[in-house]
Amino acid sequence: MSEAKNSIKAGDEIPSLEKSMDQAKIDQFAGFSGDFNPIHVNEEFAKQVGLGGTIAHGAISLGYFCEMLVSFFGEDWLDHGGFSVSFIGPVRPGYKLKYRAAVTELAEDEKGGRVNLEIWCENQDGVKLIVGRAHGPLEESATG
Amino acid sequence: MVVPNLGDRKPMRYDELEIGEEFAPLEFTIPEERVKQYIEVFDDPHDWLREKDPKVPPFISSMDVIRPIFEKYGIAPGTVHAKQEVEMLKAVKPGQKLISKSRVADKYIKRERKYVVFEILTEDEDGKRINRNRFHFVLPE
Repeated sequence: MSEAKNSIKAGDEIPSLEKSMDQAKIDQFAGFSGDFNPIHVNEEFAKQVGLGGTIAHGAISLGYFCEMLVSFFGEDWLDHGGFSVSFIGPVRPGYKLKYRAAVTELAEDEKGGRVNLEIWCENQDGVKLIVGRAHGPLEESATG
Repeated sequence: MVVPNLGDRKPMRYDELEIGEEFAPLEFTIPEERVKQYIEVFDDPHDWLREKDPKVPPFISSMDVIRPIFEKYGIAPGTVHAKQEVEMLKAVKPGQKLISKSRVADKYIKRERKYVVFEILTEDEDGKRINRNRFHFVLPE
C-alpha cells in the first residue's frame, strides 16, 4: 500500500497511469470480452455512423482506472472502493492516455473513513475523454 | 465470454424496455485462466495470482456480469457505453462461485439521445455482496 496515502489531503493528486491505445489493443479486448460491436472493430462502419473511425471500448479505460486505484490504495480497494465515470469523448487508436485522480475530500461512510477523488482520463493533447469520481479506503492514521 | 451481436438476438429498443425488467440470474466463476488473460490484455503489473491469497482483478467481475442482458438482447451496431458506476465491496478469489442478478433500473432521454441503465448486483455463495454495477448505454435509433 502506498505510503503517500498516510498523509493525503484534499487537492493532492495520486500517481497517474499512462497507457497507449491502438487498434491491436482494441481487437485484443474485443476477443477477451466478446464485444465485437463494429464501432470498435470496423473502421468503415464507425465512420458511417459518424464516429470518424473506430473507438476503444469504454471498459478498457475502466480497467486502467482500476489499476491506478489499486496501485494507490492497495487491495483494500477491492473491499471498499468504487467509481462512477462518464465517457465524454472517444478514445481512439493512436492516443496516448493519462489516467489521473485528485483528492476532493476525506469523508466517512458505513465502512469507515474514505478518500473521495475526482478522476479523469485525458489524451496527449490534454483533452478530457472520461470524467467522474472515485473513492477508496482511508486509514485512520491518514487523518492525523 | 461471448456476447452475441444483433444477428443472434432481438435488438434492444428503448420503447420496449421496461424499468424493472429482470434478467436470468447468472452463476459464474472467474477461473485463473481468465485472470491470466485479463492480465495480458491490460498489462496489469499487480501480482494477482500469487500463491498465497490470490485475488481476481476488480474489473473482471464487473465485466462478465453483463452477459445475461446481452444473451437476451443483441448489441445493436452503434450502441455506445456512455457511463458506468461501480462499487467494490468484497474481493473475489479465482474459482469462487458468484451469482449476479440484473435488471433494467432506468431509462431516460438526454440531449435527444436514448439511454438505458442496467443495474447488476453480484453476491458470493454466502449471500455477501461483491459488487454493484450500473451500466448506462446509449441506444442507436
